[in-house]
Amino acid sequence: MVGKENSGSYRNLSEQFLLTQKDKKGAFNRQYFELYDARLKSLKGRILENAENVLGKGNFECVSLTDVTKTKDVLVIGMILKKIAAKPSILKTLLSEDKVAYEDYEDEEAGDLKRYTENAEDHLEFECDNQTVKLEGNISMNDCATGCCAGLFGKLGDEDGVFEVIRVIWPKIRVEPIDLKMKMRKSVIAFVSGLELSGDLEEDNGTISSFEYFGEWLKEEEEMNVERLVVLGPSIDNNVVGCDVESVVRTLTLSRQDKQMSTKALTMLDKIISSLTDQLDVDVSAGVGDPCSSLWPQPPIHRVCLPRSGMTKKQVNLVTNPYEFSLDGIRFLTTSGENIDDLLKTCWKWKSVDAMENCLKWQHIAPTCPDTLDGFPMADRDPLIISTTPRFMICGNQSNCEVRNVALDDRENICTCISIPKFSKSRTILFLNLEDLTVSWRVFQNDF
Amino acid sequence: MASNKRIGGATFQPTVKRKRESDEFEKQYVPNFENDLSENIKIDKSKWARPAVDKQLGISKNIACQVLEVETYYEAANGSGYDRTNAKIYGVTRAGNSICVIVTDYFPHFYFQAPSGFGVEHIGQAQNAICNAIASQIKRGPGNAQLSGTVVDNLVHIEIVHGENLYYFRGADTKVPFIKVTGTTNALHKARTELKSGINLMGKGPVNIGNLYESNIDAEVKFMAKTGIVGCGWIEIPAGKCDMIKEKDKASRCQIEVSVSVRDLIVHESDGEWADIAPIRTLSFDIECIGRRGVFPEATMDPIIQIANMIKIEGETEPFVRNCFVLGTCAPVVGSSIIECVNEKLLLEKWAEFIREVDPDIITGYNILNFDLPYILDRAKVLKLPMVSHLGRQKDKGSVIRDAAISSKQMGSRVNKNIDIHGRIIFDVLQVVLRDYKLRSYTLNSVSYQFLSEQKEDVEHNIIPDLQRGNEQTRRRLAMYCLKDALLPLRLLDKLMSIINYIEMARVTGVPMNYLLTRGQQIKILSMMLRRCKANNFFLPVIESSGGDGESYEGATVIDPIRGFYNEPIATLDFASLYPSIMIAHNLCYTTLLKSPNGVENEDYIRTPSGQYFATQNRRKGLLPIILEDLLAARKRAKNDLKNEKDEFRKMVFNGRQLALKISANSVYGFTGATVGKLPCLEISQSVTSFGRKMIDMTKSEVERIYKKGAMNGKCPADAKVIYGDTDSVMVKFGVETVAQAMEIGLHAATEVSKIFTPPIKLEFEKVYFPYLLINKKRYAGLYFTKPDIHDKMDCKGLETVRRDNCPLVAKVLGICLEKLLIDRDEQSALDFAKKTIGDLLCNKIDISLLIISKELTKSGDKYQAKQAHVELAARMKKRDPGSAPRLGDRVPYVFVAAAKNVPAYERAEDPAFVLSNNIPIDTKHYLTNQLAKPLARIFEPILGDRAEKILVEGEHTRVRTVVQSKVGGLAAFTKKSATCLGCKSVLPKSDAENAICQHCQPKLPEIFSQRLNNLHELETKFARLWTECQNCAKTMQEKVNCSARDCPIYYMRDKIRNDIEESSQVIERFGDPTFFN
Repeated sequence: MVGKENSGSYRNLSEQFLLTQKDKKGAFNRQYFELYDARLKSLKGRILENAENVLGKGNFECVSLTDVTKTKDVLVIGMILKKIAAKPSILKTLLSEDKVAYEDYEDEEAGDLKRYTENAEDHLEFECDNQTVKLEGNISMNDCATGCCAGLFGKLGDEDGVFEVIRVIWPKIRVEPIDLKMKMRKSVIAFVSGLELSGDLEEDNGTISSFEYFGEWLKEEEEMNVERLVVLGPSIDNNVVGCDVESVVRTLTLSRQDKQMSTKALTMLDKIISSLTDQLDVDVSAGVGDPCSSLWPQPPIHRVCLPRSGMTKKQVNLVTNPYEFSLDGIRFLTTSGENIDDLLKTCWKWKSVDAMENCLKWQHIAPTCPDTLDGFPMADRDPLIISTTPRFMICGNQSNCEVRNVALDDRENICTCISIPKFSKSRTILFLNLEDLTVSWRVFQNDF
Repeated sequence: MASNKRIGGATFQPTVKRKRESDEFEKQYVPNFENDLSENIKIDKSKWARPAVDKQLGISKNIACQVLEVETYYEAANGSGYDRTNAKIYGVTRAGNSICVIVTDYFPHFYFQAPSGFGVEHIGQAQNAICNAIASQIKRGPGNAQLSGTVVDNLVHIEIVHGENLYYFRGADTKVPFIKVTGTTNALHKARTELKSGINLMGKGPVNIGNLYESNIDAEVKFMAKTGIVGCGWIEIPAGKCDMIKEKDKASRCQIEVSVSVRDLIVHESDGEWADIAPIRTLSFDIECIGRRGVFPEATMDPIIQIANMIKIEGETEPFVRNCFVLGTCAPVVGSSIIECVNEKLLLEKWAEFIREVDPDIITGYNILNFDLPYILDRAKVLKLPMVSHLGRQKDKGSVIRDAAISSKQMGSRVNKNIDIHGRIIFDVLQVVLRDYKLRSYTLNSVSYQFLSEQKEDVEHNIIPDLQRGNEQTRRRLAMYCLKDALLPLRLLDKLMSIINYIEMARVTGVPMNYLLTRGQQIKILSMMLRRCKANNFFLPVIESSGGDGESYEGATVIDPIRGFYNEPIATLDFASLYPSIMIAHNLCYTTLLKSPNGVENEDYIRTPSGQYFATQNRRKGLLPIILEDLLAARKRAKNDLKNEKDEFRKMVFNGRQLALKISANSVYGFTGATVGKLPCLEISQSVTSFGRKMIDMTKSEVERIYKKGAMNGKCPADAKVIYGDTDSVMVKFGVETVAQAMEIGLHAATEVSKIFTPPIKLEFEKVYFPYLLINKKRYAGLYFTKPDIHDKMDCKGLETVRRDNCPLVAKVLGICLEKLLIDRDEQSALDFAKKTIGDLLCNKIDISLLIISKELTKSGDKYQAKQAHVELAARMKKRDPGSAPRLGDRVPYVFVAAAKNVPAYERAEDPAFVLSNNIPIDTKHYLTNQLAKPLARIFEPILGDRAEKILVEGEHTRVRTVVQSKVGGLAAFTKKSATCLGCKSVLPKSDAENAICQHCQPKLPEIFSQRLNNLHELETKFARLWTECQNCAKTMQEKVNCSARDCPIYYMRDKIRNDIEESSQVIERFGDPTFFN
């Protein structure tokens, strides 16, 4: 057993992602506008703050969209909507269902992210004080996503219902400077994402043996001092339950197929996770498809599913998705990647790290939740707003490994965005050295 | 405003008591804005006016305009002149100016056959006799008019013309003398009655003149036929030959008013540059009115609070004026102008001014004809605002409402309002959709969903008062709905290309555009007949309508189907435009009909299979064949033009035209068969169908004779067999294996067999069905191939997939089964699917929206003969909540709920929303036996044989059923819940009641949990997708969705999901905190 004398420096900072009794009470009688409302309310101040920096205090007037004119440049604060013709909609799908209702969806190549086809009608809209305008001018489809809150400096265009943007003001980025006094120690934290166990032994064989190989490797490389492993979901194959428009429509068009989440997959997950706990702490964060609610922010996987991991030492943490924690004063934010996938669908230009960089810019982990990413109907708060920008933002289940340092402000603060691929496909595990904050990854291929 | 209203209210509500009630109401539900707004409002009118008029028009430049509306009017004699009936043409010029053309020197006419011996010398005597008879009739009438001598002398004019009764062939070119009577409509009307009773025409005592001709045809139609003007066609007024009427003398509100003699008018054929469409202004509007609680707004009491308007120029994509007249203060809407009015009076007056100023040519909206427009006009009466009814282009005439019954085979009978807005066309989108499309529901919401794949947020009438009473923000919200409701009709018209199609139809048939919406099919054919008859001097007799159904005749036959599932290509031979071709080929016409055969059969005359005789072409070419030939040739040309045209807008014009031509050609046959019509001739229609029947039989024997085994150099592998034939198509089994082979033989057969028919009757080969499921007469399904390699579509005829009187489940299941049968050719999976669905149905897993049946509430309960489910339900809902209960004309959605055994079906219908909120069990058995069983059995019978229904309804899959506990009635109040194990359902002991499962199930905990969770996942996704869909559909992220669109496919679903997910997540809660206790 490795000494745990330093583990006291670990802090779980995911409180905001857990649903409170207040959140849960009557939740499903709500509508989503309450969540958008809460988002805009809490970001408004930060947008104004940034506007003062960018435009200069007293150089602008912040007004309601109803008071915007064609003559004077003003600032309006509201929410951006990215209108994409190809975005799936239940109503549209239902209309054309006759043609597709019975089609076999399973033939679809799973895993590859499908981006929406671009259409000449795609455009941006902006909603503020119950008014909606079309956006034109100095703003691009590649700058934003549906659900982003921003301030727009500009005036009404010549055409009716069009706002000419001169400048976009994003919310002020909140940074917590790293406490440099914290002692640096040689310690490594590992991240793995997308185990996606299906419960079918043959299918899972490669993943399991590769993961076990990682376990053995850990024992051999003890001097690396890997003290913590963060497992990003989904650990259970989520092809079982669809979470897209088509699957909803399928239940309406009778073409639904009854499928069950495999208990075998759960048993296997329980086993491989508990086998590691001799050597390190394990944080198990959920993903869509895991045995827990699939609405973002996701609660932890339920303990009843992993009985063995619960019996071992107190080293398995069941945590939320997104998951935020700090180790030695360094802030980490991880997600299982659905938020980024959802953004990527809306823009052909972005890579995973581009989308993550944008999230930092927008100060929101998942602006498209709940619009296209299933979200919990919150009432008076939006837990997915980035209230303190992490030092590391890690996103699982992406197409490849990428690292990008993003400068946060004019000072030296940066945030490192890292995307990691699914373990089930790539056998890749990410290592982050806390001493020098370097990143490395390693492939644990063991398919024999 | 308040005082005004009370006066108005008093006239309409004579009893004192009610008046007082309405006062109280008014105070309650209509807030007062006198403090916030003033009577003087500034309105930005910059975009309203039409372009300025070229001063040279009519002086040095000809005026060309497109004809939109035509009306005739009476002009009394002034001094020296005599009474006239003039025509007024409203139109638009190329520059977008509105114009009113007064056409003078036109007189309506009718004919009668000259009595024998009547010669030119009798004209003076006859004219005097008729004029005097009319004059004395006028003097006898009310008013005792003093008529000057000139007037009396010129009441009617008569002349001798040579012509012929349209009916019957009496030998070649036997034109006989007719007397043509011309005069004002009024005088003609009187002349008719006088002539009927006998007038001394030749100075030898009263003459009985028998039948009149063309006296029963509208003056407008006669005017247009006479001048050659067609609806929406172009006319030109030559410069200098017209009288430009000065602004102060104008009788119309058009920019240009000009008077021209009928002789100088130039009429253009709709070709070349004259095929264009002028920049027509279309106004779409929608009103919102505030209702008292539980009552649908009534014009006598409930004020209008908003009117939204959109104006667009035909051919452009976006409206150039968007505004909304609002009662009270209202926050601005970006992109639209909001006109705040202090009271309803001002609102209506400003709106009417707006209409007069923007001067739209077409007024559209959704159900404006029967709701919005009458409501506005009624309100104007109540509030005593005469100018508000002046919406038309005639200065001296307000618009009035009349009830008009319209009945046609195509749409059944219905009563519409008829509103005359002089010079403007009322083009109600609802009427267009009702006429041209068969839908499950005709609400704006459902229609826009069908055609624009877009929904709108539907606000319930009940919340309108709340929104109006709220603040400027809530009224703004209301304005947003209102604006959207005004915009959607425009978008629908664009999408359906209705305006263009109707313009082309008007041009082809010659009638004014508004006739197409307000009149039946017949007027179109009549107009075409009249034009053709005029050229050939045939006169249309007045036929007394026989009233009832009259004699019926045998319809189109079918060759009895050889039922079955054909897993081989079936070729289809079709007769192209069958009925028109028959009429052309056999020269069937009024003018060729023979009373008795005369001459040599087949040379001078033919005998039709139904036993009628017609003269051959050698003797006389019929008029109908000529009309039809023209129509078909014109259609060919239009199709050709369509092919060569590059410009999208003009392409639409040509497509509209070819469609209009096709429809017109096909309706000629129906015209001759309409016994209540103007020109019935059953001899023709009988002969047409009998020829049709004979030809189908001939085709069958010819195909089976030629394509025997080994025919076509051995290409025919077996004897051809005709398995079915109907009206104009014959299905042939050639015994080949591939679609390509079937196509080759089919093509060959079409040419070969066509040889036995008289041209232009022609068989065409265009499609192969493979496989083909022939269920019964007019019921079949198949995969439709027009090219050998891939099918175009699945074609279903007469099956419940397309019928509207079933619940959607039937159509869906049938559709999927057919696809599995026909496309996948997997009988087993089709059957499995059917069984699974039946299983799901019995286990209550089918979404309620799939089980909803809806019927229109056409009359109140006691007027129906037998008790009907939807009527009974409407009455029950009224008792529960009068406000939300369906009203007359609404479609009532319902589902069948479980009840005791002998409760009749009509009492088991229930409101789906009520069912959802009270968890009432559905009568799944009813759905199985009364809805699903028969249609499913039908499609499986050819495969499974007679056992099909039994297998489906009584098989293994029907054994498991789920019973739902109702929250209301029965034993619901007495049941008590106690905690049960989520695994084995055993009751948990009190000590364990907190736990999710019992001790015994402990080892299976992960499994039980994940099962429950699977269920939750599905619900969560549904919840999230459905509610974001609604949020998106409402087009706002920041406001609550208040939508009551009951025919939205997800309306019930999104409510159901709330209950389900709540329940399901509570179950998950029972498993406790997810994290380990540490």
